[in-house]
Amino acid sequence: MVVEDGGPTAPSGPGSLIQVPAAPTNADGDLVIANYLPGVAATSLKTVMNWGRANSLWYMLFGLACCAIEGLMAGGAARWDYDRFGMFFRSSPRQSDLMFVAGTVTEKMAPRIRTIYEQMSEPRYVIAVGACASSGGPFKDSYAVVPGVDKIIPVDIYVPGCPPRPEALYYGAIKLQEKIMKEKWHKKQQAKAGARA
Amino acid sequence: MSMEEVVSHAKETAEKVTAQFPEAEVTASDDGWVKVKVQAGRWLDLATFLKESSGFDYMFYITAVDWKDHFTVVGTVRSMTTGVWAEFRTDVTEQGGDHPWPALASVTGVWPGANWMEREVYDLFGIDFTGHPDLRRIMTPEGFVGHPLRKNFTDVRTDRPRLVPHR
Ligand code: SF4
Repeated sequence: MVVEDGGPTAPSGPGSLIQVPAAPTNADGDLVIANYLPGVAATSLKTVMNWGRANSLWYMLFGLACCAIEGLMAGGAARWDYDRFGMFFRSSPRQSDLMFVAGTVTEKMAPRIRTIYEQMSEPRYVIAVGACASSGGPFKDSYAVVPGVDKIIPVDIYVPGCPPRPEALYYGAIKLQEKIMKEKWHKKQQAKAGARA
Repeated sequence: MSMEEVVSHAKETAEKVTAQFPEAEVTASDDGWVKVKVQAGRWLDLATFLKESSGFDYMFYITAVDWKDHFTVVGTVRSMTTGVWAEFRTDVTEQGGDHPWPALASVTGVWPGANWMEREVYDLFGIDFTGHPDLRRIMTPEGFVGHPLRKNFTDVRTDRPRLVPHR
């Protein structure tokens, strides 16, 4: 590789102690720090934080009806296994980042769901599993059913199906990871700091 | 216990109930069931008789049917010693005046397990069980108006107070 404008001319050759590569740039002309300092990667703090969050989603089970069997029990058991994505279930909302609302949300259950959502610490995410949690599903017109859990708490991902297969839920979980990777949390922090000032 | 014994126990029970309640319709079927239909006024007597004299110690369920002009309350019990099932039912109608609900004597004193089942029938059908120790709604949310399994129930969802206001 030829570098037009020179670059560092560290002593390199058979006799020198430190082997510095001649060209610090890659084929696109970008500076590659790793070429100078092997074992060091440079990235933004935002990416590292998002990467950590997206790959250690601890989820809270909120099974309300049939979808809980498919999505949470079958999906969490050995045949499909959420652990592959770094997702573990916690039975306490205070240790959870993500809540699966799986099943039919009734008016009577609504205050409990809201309380548990509020007990989760931020950042918190919600996946609505199945037709019932997304929109009320087959019971939309019932006197006792909330037509979609998004009527009472914010929802990040909707997984359709009655019930959705575990694969569909994994697709939803991967979509949530993609969403977290794009998150601009530092902007949120700035906005909060601005609001406080 | 063989099926023949269960069926003969059922026939025996049917005869005993017929002797005690001549006005009731009693049948004993070939699969070990006794079916009794009584007047609403003798509901509690029949329940006590089934428990005390025929050994029906297991309360299975109580439910109701809305026929538009009247309700049928149905109870099912089982004897754990003879294996016989008994289904007993009665018709109740809405009363006028200052007590418009259909009323029936509670069988909670006979089978304590009937407590929540009567509450459920009260909640969903609006049947008043007199003598029930704690007749409150059990399934519908707090502040609910109406009895949803009645045929004439209309949902007043839009102006009903909600426990969590919708966003
Ligand atoms: S969406 Fe279907 S499977 Fe899921 S809770 Fe509703 S009725 Fe059950």
